Amino acid sequence: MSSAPGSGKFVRIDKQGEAVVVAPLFTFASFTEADLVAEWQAVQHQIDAPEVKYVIVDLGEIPYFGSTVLEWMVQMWKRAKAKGGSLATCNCSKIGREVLHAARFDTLWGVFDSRDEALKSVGQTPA
Amino acid sequence: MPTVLVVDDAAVDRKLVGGLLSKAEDLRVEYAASGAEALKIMEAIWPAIVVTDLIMPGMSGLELVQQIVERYPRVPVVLMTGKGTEETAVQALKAGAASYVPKTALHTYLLDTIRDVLDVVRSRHSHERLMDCLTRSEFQFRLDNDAEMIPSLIGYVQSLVTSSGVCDESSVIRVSIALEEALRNGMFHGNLELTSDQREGDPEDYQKLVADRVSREPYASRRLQVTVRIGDDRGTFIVRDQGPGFDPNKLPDPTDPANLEKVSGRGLLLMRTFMDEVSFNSTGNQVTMVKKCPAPCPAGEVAS
Repeated sequence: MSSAPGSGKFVRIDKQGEAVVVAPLFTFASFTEADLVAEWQAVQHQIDAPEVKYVIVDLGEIPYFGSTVLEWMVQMWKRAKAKGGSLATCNCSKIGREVLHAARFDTLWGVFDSRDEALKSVGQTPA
Repeated sequence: MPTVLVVDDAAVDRKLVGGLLSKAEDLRVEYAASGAEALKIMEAIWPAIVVTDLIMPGMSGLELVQQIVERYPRVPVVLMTGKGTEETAVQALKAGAASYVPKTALHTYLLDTIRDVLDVVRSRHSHERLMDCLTRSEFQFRLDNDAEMIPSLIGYVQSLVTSSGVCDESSVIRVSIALEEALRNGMFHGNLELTSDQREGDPEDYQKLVADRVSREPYASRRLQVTVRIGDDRGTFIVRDQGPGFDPNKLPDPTDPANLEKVSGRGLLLMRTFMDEVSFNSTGNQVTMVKKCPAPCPAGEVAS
């Protein structure tokens, strides 16, 4: 069952079964980290919900990203992992894939072309 | 004389627009009855501007905008919008259309809109030609420890390296990522002496720590000096902080499996990934990054 727990200025959050889908909406040219803190707390709150085990990061809204988004992703991954879950990414741009590859995260996280594929990879049925 | 290409499947509308544009003696008008015909015509003549209907059989106005943006990025497109096409018009504007005129107000606004768009394009082309003649430039910024300045500076540098020809579209993003990492390193780790371990904790606590140090000596009076040098075959970006410096050789390798779960520590990795050269001074408080032109850039050609 899909629901829409929230959409802020910098991130959109959807829920799909046991997965939370987090879509960053910012590039570094449009935010400061202090802006992100409040929305980060909302993301954490969703991931910490008892029924959630998986995080899908949908990177389709941002053409590129740097270490700040990577830091977010590591934090989310660790929270999901602590609950026996995992993290997968989708809709990543070419340069975004280069960033994931440089950090070797493409060896740890699934990198999928679509949200549906990412959801299926963690056993969730797309809406 | 600039040519206006009018695209509309309805002959009566083409006639209407042609009649309006005929009042301008300095514009020549060509017509196409479909998007496909418009693209065919554009293979033979290079119009100064395209005016198109949105709803047409076959290729829609939105698809035509996408094709023109891809094939002829310097040719602006003005949309003629009718009732019920507002949403498509928004998509077309996002896709790169320059402006729009409601069909009900063509008499009042079409000619002025075309002139306004052509003026902007002329001015932009003139600026681009001037930048093609640029052989060397250097800018120096002195930033407070205010992260809000980072997006502004990156935006400025993006514009500078693009217009000077140092970077193509994909390189400019790589430069931006690397520069952002260097600026954040210099500001937060250099001037404010915040460590990766502090970064690992709660983001809210970290932001409080940032706020505290920004207003407390010795951190508060430290500045970040950023030098951007464009010329010859490269862009050079130097970021110098006033902190105690560090030894980059002692940084843990973030790609080591043992370090993959660490939240931070990937800034230098991204700098090295996206720049052609990255080096530090002996005290580690200044990083110099170089991006070479993907092909001989205009500045290099002029310089030689």
